[in-house]
Amino acid sequence: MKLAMIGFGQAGGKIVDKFLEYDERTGSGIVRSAVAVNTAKADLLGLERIPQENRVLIGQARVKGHGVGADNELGAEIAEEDIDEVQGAIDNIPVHEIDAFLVVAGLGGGTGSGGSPVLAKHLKRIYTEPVYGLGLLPGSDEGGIYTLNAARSFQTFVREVDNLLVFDNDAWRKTGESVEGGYEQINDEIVRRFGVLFGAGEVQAGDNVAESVVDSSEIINTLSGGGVSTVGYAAESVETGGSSGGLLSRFKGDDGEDMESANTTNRITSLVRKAALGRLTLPCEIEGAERALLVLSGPPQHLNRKGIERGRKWLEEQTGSMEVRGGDYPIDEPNVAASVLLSGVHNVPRIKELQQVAIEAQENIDEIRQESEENLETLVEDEEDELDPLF
Amino acid sequence: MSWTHSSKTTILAVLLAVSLVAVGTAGAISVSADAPDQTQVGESVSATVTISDPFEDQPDQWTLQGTSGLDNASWTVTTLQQGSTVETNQYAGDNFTQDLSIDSGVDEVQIEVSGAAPALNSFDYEEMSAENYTVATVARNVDGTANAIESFTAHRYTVADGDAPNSLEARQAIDAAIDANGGTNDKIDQAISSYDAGNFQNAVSLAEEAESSAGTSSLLLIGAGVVVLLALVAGGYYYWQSRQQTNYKLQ
Repeated sequence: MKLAMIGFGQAGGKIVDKFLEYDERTGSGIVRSAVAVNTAKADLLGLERIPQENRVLIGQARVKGHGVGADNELGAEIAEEDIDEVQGAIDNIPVHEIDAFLVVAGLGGGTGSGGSPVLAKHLKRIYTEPVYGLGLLPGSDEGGIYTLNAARSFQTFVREVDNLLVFDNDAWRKTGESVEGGYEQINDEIVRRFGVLFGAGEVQAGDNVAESVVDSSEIINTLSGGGVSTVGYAAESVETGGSSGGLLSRFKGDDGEDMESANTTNRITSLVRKAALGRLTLPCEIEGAERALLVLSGPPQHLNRKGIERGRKWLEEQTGSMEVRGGDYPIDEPNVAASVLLSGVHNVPRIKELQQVAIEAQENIDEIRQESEENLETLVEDEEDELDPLF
Repeated sequence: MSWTHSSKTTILAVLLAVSLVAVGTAGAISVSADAPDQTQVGESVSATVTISDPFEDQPDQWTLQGTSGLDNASWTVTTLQQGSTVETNQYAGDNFTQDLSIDSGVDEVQIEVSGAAPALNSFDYEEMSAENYTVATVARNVDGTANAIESFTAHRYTVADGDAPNSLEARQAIDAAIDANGGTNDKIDQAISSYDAGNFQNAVSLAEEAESSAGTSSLLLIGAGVVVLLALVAGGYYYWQSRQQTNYKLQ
């Protein structure tokens, strides 16, 4: 699937940069065009692979290139005002060559959080291609204001995009790692998961072609119901070269082959289970998901029809949905991986939790604002009111 | 006869030049000299010393004295005044004396000595100066005290015996071998002892062997260097390959 990626804000820009790196490194070819938008000049400078002419600085008149300071209402305002500048960069995108837009943003901040729904609305108005969002939720330890921003942005963003893929930092952080190291890991994970999913249909001449190709239309149809989506992933190392097969299997006869096949099938089904029930990008109950997509990647000899079918059936049972698509993605690597895209999930405790914290934060902020003037006066004035200010 | 770039010869030449200058300033007499510094045994050798202003800052009368290590030495001493000859004296033998007086109006003395380079019988490669001989020494004698005015020494080498090399050729071969090897080794030491024993044929062949083996040993060194380089390149390639392994899409 070929995407036009627009990274809004600091996190969004970094992730789009990472997608470009993944593309370079693996030759996946999923990013047809990349754009980064920000109100902070420093963040745009920090990007490595996005072409200079596709880096857009907005809101210079209002914030002079210094960011909005986690004020996502201001971020949204600026995005509205300067949407034409962003459109200028989007004009560079050969839209007839892409399958969909992907707007990437961190929902806890200011620019990305406020601007991404604005951009999504704008794109939907102009283009017929689907507009998907990739939103990053802040960790629960990041604090009240970021959670509030995320909760409000989430509500808006879901409304404006055709489907919102969510990644929850909270589920992925580890204790005791450096700030930079932690984000690196998370970004790697995001890019790998979505990269494998989106890259499954990109075939070049000379590549192995899948038995059942996971084309962009499979993905688009899975995401077509709208709502919120999450991606599960599990990978395993395998031996290539068939060292255990080959010479010995000739003498072992049929039994050997059956064993091989059984192993392969079992491996696939266990990977699918691990992917669906393990760490999802947005932790949630998979039961009730409206649609699903299963992609098995790996060396062709390790992917068999039976395994994929079993996996798919299992997903149908788990989600209760009849619309579960499946396919394979042959890759020449000593790894086998299962990607599970669950679209239209409804039972997400994490979001409820997020909203709870956000409400509390909002109340707290409002309270403090109200009392602020009173408190300041108590501090500044002396008790008997004997002192007069200078002027 | 060609000059070697042996460091010992250079040092010798420098020392010779220095000695010419140092010894010559025995007062304010100015001296110019002309003498060879490398001679073959038996070769006809001559040297000239010219003393100008012999009485400036000197006693009015003094005795000129000359000695030589040449075989069958003969001397010609010419005294001049304003460029025209006053007196010429001939002496035979390895020394002479002549009295000089300011009253004669002499302002320049020319001393010429000629003879044959004496035989060389003991050889010393390390100490080249041990193979030297004194061509001539000119001294000023005042009341029995002699002050040297000028002295020349020259190095000598043997006459070749048939096809065998002479001592100079042997010395040059050893010099070349030392240069090629960047120092001495066992073979070169053997060559040196052959030289010291007067066995020049042996000295030359050993020196030539040492020189050519230096060529091969440096070739071996280059070969080893190339192997190490290849190993590094191969190692780097394997390392790069293994890093390529991490460019997997799935993990």
